Amino acid sequence: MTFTTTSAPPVDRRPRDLFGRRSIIGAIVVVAVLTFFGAGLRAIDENSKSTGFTPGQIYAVSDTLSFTPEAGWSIDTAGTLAGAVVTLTKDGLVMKVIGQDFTAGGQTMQDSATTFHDADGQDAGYTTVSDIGPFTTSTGTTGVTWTASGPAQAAQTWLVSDGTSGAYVPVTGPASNWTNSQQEIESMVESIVFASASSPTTT
Amino acid sequence: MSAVNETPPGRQTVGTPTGRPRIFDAESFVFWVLVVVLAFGAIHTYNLLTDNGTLFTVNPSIAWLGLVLWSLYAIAFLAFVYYHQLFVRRSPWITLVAFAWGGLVATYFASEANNALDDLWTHWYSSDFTSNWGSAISAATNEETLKTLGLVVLVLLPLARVRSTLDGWFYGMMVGLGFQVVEDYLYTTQNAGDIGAALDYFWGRGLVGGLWSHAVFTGIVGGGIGFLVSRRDRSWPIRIGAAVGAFAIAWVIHFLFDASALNNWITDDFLATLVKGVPALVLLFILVHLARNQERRIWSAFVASNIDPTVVSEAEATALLDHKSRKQARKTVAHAKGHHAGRLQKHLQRAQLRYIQSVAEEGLDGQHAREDEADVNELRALIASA
Repeated sequence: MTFTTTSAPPVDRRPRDLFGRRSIIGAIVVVAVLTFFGAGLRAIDENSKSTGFTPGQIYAVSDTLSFTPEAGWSIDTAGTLAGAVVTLTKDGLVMKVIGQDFTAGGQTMQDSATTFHDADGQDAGYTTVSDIGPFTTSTGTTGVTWTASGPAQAAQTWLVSDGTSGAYVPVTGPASNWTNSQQEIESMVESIVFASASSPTTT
Repeated sequence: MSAVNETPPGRQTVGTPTGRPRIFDAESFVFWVLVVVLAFGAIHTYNLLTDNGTLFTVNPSIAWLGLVLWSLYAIAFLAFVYYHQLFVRRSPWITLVAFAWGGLVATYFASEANNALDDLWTHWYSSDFTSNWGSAISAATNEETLKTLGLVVLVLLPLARVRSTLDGWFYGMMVGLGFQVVEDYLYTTQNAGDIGAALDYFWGRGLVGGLWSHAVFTGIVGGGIGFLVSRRDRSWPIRIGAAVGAFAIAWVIHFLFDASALNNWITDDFLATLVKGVPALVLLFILVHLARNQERRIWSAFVASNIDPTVVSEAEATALLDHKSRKQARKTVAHAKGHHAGRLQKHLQRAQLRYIQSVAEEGLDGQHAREDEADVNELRALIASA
């Protein structure tokens, strides 16, 4: 509000008309801005993506490692190195599938998991890090996983191996964006197959 | 705020009343857009906050604890800011709508926009860029713009009567507070695994980080918007410059808070929060101080020209100019006539402030002005007989 005196200019008396020019233009501006942020940016994002793969079909990370990407994810070419690592993104989530030999230097997958897990524990961005837990994919490939979470960032890491070859799969991103993509991420991890594995699985 | 004669020639008849601010305005298309957008935002934000309604079933203790803690936080913060308004008590309904815009509209749309823009940064540059800088650019740009849009909506509603720098500051803080508590509740429920972790979030984001977060950012922007729409005694370039400058300052502070690459420079979280947060708070205080001085001059001129000295005497008006002099006046009365009279003096001061606001909004013959004048006279009589 304002205080006026008799010497002040007249009080602002805007014309009030539901379909007046000021009313309509104001409403259009508000709707346009919200539409841009709520849908426009998403449309630009969708149209500018070059996935580099066909969702639902096997994608080879290296000669010995492949997996099946889900729809809606795209390749971050800057984070992808042919034959070694592929980086996928969606809604701010970043998933890397990295071919890794866990047996180098006489180590085991569990040793590597402990190393990565401890690193998460020392990361100032994470306040909570779960214990390392085992899992087995539908194709019988064994692995371990754990989660980490911080004020704005959450992460889950999988290590999978068929005993000969291995894959290190860290996924990070804003905590608020995990819910919609968790199932897709788990499906992609499930779909990991190694050249020595029995048969590839698609989702 | 309009230019005024600061040395008025005695009491005159009241200028044209400004009208009582209200949010309901069926004759404004913007109002109906606001209604639809608030409903749309409420549905989507509810789904976002509760994980499509499952949160209270899956993790009830964290969900309820978070809800109670952040609700209390919002009420305490809102009450503190609301009761520290110096001369004007702004409309509670407009205040709630501002809060709701921040909490229900800005949060949901910013969530969508941030996700999309983060994807684009990764596509255009790399995931490292997104992590280090891109997410901070997205958040500062999308969130500050969407919160500012809430202020623009209020400015576009003629009956909301956002007409001063302090109006902009106040409603800006309310928009920012709404955004802040809803975002904090979201982070708490999504990341806290147990009650201890939820309390840690409340401590870190609410009590340590909350003093210089969204409410402060949008308060600064709001001051700029308020200056833009009210200071007609200044040129357009200055007014536009002030609004753009305030937005730029809020953007930079927000960006500095979010840029994870900067966290490597100061590794101590508490120190980093202080280094980034204190300048924001200081800037806000400077803005409020300057705006209050302006409001004080205009208020004094209005009282001198328009208020009956038998309702608010010159000495009483002088005592009402700031919190310190109000307290001193209450102490003087309490010292002379006892503690009860001191409390009555507090009520008298509030009634006088209400009266002056009512006269400005509705004129001397307005219903509220007459009621407030009766309150003043009654309280004055009670103090006299104490």
